Amino acid sequence: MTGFATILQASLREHARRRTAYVALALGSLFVALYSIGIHFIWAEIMRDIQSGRRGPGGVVELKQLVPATMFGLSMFATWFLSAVAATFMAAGGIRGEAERGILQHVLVRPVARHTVLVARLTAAALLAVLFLFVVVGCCALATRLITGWQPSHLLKALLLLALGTTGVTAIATAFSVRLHGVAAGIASLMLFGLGLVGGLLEQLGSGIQVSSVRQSGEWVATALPFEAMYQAALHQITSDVAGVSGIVVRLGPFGGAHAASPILVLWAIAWTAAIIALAAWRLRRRDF
Amino acid sequence: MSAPALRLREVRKAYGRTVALAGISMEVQPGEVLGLLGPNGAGKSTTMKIAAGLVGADSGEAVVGGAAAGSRQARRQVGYLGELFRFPDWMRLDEMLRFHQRLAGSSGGADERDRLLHLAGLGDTSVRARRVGTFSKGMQQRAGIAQALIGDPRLVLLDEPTSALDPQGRAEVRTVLRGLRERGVAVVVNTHLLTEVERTCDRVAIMLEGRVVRELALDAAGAVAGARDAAPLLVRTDRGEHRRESASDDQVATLVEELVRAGERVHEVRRDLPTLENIYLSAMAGVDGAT
Repeated sequence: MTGFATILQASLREHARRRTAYVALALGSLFVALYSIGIHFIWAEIMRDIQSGRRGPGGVVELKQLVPATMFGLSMFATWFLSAVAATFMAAGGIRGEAERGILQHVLVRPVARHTVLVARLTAAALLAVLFLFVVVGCCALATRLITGWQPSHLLKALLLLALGTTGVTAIATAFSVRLHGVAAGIASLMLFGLGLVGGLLEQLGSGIQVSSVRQSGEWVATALPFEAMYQAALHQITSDVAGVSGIVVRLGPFGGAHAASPILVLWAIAWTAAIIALAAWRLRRRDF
Repeated sequence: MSAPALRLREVRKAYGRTVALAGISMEVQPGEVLGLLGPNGAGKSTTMKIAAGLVGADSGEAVVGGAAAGSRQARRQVGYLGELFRFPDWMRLDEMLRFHQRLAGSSGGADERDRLLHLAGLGDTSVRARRVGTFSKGMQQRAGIAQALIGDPRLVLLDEPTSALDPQGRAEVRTVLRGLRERGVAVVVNTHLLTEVERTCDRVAIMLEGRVVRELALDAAGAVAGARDAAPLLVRTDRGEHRRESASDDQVATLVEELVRAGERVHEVRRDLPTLENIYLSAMAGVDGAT
């Protein structure tokens, strides 16, 4: 077994032994249950309104698209956010935290490259966070379909884009963990994650109020920290098949900022994540323990 | 003579403005146990960490078994137990050793784990299934010693290996070190316990402010090699005390014979051997206390 596989396996086992995975699974189940109950009652009320004629026939088709798409989009954001937070917690104490406890030194003495240790630990955290994302978003999609009959257009593509965003956050947390204490690394990572989200919001706001300076600032931040762009691209994926008037209504709503993920954007996000990992590996290589 | 297991030449290391090593040079041969002595901050742990590849030297040369310290080839030959020793508390003991076997590329399997755990005094099968986090500090240190010996390293670096052990544990570690010496393994031990050094080491390097200020060899009895003949001799008889500045074993025998022949009753023959403690304290004070 290679050093990478050995450390990856041990890290995954560690998260299982420490019950991280079980806690995420239990709380994820709770989230899906609450989401299902929420969408059930919203949908039941809308159906009652439609049947009682309180909502005009002109908007019924649009409503049947807008409501489940909006609800699912929000659940996707919440789950993605939680997966990023979980990844941060799992990765932030990975290097310096382990070194301060005297654990890492006995691993680094072994004939395994330091970057292998770093990438294996990052992979374990990202895998678990992405698994959480896939399971919870998948369950929400299933619940939405069972309750409303609506289903997202390209769920897998959307999930892959979100997974890329989560991996980026994990890479940042791991990179910070080389230099900072666990808590500081966690805070710094979440701050950057939040900054990326604010950048995306600024971009939308600037477009909405037609102030180019605000829009451009938002664009710069969102490009430098391409998390939010991945979420917007994922949103676009789940409604990309909604055409005609329904499509216009959906995109006027909370999906207004959604945009297709160009190959360049995806490549940029991948290159950005790889660059963060490379930087962390370079720093780790030079660090004394 | 084969290549040294560890060779340091003019190795320097500073952490910011603090100089940890100010040009240290030493060699450790296969089958030799070297003790590093010195006060806190003398550079002992940094020396070990450079040999283990955990710390990079600013300048100088650090070579482990012919390979640059820190290289993968060098780390294949090294076993290390740090001063701050912790192992993943969620791992079971057997699992922890298996993890290190895989990282070290050891094909020893369960037999090696059995052997090392017995050697470290953790042979009880119920202990192996326990999580390391439930161990006492002494048991963790024993586990650390077993971990350091995985893969039959050519150079074993033990930083304060008996700090958490009871007297029985210390005696067991001495047995382990003797076994390593017999198998031709080079060992570097960093400790503050002078008696441990006297009992286990072939050679001692006393460090102060990042330098080796004194190196001396110890004989099988733990005395400073060569110091016996040079040590002052005291013979106490019923008629008084007779002193010699130095005396070989033959000269001692001759002197006692002469005194007996002269009708004196010999009550005590004592060499005033320099103790490691005296030498250490003298070295700390910048005085040569071996002569």
